[in-house]
Amino acid sequence: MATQMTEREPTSYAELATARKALGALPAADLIRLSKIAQMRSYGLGAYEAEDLLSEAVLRVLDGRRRWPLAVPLVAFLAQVMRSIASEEREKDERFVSSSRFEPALCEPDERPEPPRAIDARDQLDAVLARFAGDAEVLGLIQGYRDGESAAETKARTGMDARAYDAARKRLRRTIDRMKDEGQL
Amino acid sequence: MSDITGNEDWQRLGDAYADAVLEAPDAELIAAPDAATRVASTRALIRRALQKTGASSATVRHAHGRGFGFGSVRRLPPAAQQERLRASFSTKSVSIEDEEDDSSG
Repeated sequence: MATQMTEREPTSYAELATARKALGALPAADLIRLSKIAQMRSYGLGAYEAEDLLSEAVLRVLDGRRRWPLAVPLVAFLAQVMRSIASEEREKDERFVSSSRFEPALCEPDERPEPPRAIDARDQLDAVLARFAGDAEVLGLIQGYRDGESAAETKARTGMDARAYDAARKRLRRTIDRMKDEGQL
Repeated sequence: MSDITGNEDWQRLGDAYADAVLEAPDAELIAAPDAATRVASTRALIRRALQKTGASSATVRHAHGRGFGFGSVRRLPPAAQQERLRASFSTKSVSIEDEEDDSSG
């Protein structure tokens, strides 16, 4: 039988009413996931605290600016929207930092513009990486994300099997949560 | 390329963390000390957003442990955990229309 080239299936998006129902029925565990991811994504943003970021993401879904592809779990989709919003804000902050207007050394103290929180990202990142000093697997996992690797590529590069990869992922999550609880993030 | 502010690298770390949270077991998330606070505040946030964008026909139902799927990575809590979820969190059906401000257009 001849093999035919199949047409790419169009993406199915949820109707707004469906999205509304799904949002209203998110289970407890998913609500917790959204809260934690919002908290992480909001670090270093000048314009958004965690609740603001999540709220903005939800509103963009509810007003149709972001359409929910039904193939993606809602909580994962909202995480993507938050990432997108955070990325937009960081780009704005970077433009501020690199602009000639940001010259605190030339300003009187009371005229100095408040530095964008984006500047804290490097310090925060260094603090997190320092906590994993000696944990080659977690550092390998982080490196994989920085290099845009797939999970399979990271496992192949580091020699981790699926179990080791999942364990590294769990240590990453728990350590960052602990740092938040300790006020280090 | 130099990432002077660390933003790009921080974003990627956020990706790793988000994936780890998405794949964390439900039971572990729910057992955390701050779980109830996170659930309450996030639920309230969503409710406000639903009300803000108009809720003439939507019904909010507190979930009974059902999720919307993670495909192969989704781990459902055991039956005992389901019972704990029902006991810990309200299962009352709440209609947004009941809570809607009468003055809203």
